[in-house]
Amino acid sequence: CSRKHVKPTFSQTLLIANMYKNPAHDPNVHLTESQLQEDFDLFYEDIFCELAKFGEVEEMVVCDNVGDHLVGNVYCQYRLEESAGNAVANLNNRFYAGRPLYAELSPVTDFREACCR
Amino acid sequence: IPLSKRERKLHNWDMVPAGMEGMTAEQVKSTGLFPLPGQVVGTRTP
Repeated sequence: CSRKHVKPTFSQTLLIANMYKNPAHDPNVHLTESQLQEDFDLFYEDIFCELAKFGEVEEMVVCDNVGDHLVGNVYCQYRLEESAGNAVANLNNRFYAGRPLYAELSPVTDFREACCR
Repeated sequence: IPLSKRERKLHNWDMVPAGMEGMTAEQVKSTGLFPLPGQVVGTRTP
C-alpha cells in the first residue's frame, strides 16, 4: 500500500490517529490479559460516550495493529455525514490524556472490507 | 440509562499536556512536540 489515500471531503467515518496507547505495546508495563482487557474496556467506554455526543454512532473500531500508520487508531462511523464532520472539527481542538488529537475523515465505509495492500 | 448520564471511570478528555495549559490543540500540534508515529519530527509529513 502506498498510503496515498484520497482524503474525502464528506464521509460518515472519522479517524482519530494514534489515540489508544495499548499498554501491551509498552515494554516497561506488565499487565495480565484481564488487566489489559479492562484497560481497553474503560478506554472504549470513555471514547464512545464522548463520540456519541456528535450523533448516532453506527460502529466504532480501535486498531490493535502495530504499524506506525495504524497503531491505536480509532475509527468511528456515524449514521450521518454531518455528525462525522462536526466531530472532526471539534476533536482537532481537543486533548485526550495529555495529547492533542489528530482527527480526519476516512474513506472506510465497511470495516470488514477495510484492508488494502 | 442515557449515555450522557452514564458514569465514566476515566477522565482523560481535555487533559492538556503539562505546561501547555492555555494553548489550543492546534497550537500544541504545531510545536511538533506530539508527532504521530512515523511522522518526521518537525513536519506534518507522514
